[in-house]
Amino acid sequence: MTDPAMQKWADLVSLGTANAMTGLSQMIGQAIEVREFELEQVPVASISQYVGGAEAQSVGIYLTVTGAADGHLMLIYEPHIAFAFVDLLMMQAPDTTTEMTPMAASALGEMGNVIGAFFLNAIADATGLSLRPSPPTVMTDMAGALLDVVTADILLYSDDTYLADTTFATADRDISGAFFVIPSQGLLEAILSNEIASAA
Amino acid sequence: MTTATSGRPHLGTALSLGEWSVASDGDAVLSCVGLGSCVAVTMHDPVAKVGAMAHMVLPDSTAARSTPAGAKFVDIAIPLLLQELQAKGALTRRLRICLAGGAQMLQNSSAAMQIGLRNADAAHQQLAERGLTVAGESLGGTRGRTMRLSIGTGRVTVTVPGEQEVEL
Repeated sequence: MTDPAMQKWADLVSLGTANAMTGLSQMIGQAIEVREFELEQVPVASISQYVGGAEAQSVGIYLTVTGAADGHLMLIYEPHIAFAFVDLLMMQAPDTTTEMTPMAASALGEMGNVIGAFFLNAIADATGLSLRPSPPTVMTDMAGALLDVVTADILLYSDDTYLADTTFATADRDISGAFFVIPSQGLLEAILSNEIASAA
Repeated sequence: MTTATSGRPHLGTALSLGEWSVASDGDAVLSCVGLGSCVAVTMHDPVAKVGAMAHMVLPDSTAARSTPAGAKFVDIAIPLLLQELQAKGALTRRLRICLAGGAQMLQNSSAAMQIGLRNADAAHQQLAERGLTVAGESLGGTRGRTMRLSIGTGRVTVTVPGEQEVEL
């Protein structure tokens, strides 16, 4: 990706992330502050280092994207962060959730629905592309195994990918987490070519 | 993509996606951590005391648009390991070969998305074409795995979080 294309993708992901946080704020009825946003070009082979290492137990929320382009998005969290989200979503006291129950998975799936829809809506508005998220799949496993779902597809086209790392927190709870957006190559190309064509 | 090579075996080397390593240091342990749909192959010659491992991600390099370097593709990784092992004095007929990984991380995925299954099939095919048999395997399912090869002993283990370690 060229520097202007990288900047364009960074702008779009930033826009999408801000909108996703707005959606999440509405869902939980609390303001969410985006504290940091960073987009990095990283080797696909080392993505798991950003989520505590390949062997670290993690929770993944995975959505496929269909419409003008096919692709996929993954949110991945350390379990204690995922459980903190569950408590927040279900209006429970902190540390109530300590394991992945069906109810917890359902709450995280709902969060994935909201984040995915708001994220894609913002990008669709900016680019004119119609992009729809699938229902989310919530998985618990080693980070390396979860990430295989997206990395295998990316590696067919490229050795690098783009990782959006957003740190955010609610006002009244000590909760923050990284929000990773990992696009497939097809989605990336469709979004950028459309955006560049519309800007020309 | 980087590759670890036989000249500098590292103790406790964990191979990332698409990496491979050949080692002859008796203390060396090669591992592939957090295998999902990826498939790891180990090959070990108990006489020459040399072994190899690859962390393979995709079945077929002919469909690739990215650099087919390293051990990313099964059809490149397996011949590469055999060649490197022979260069280190291993005899192909003495090799003990094991496979692990190839899980289907997503339920209800389409045939095209069943990369784990396709990786496992490709590995079997590459070995069968060369008349090589698999001594032990832990393939398929829906859970992630970690596979380790101890070069000194040839011991191959597979662990799934929360379950007992299995020796192949």
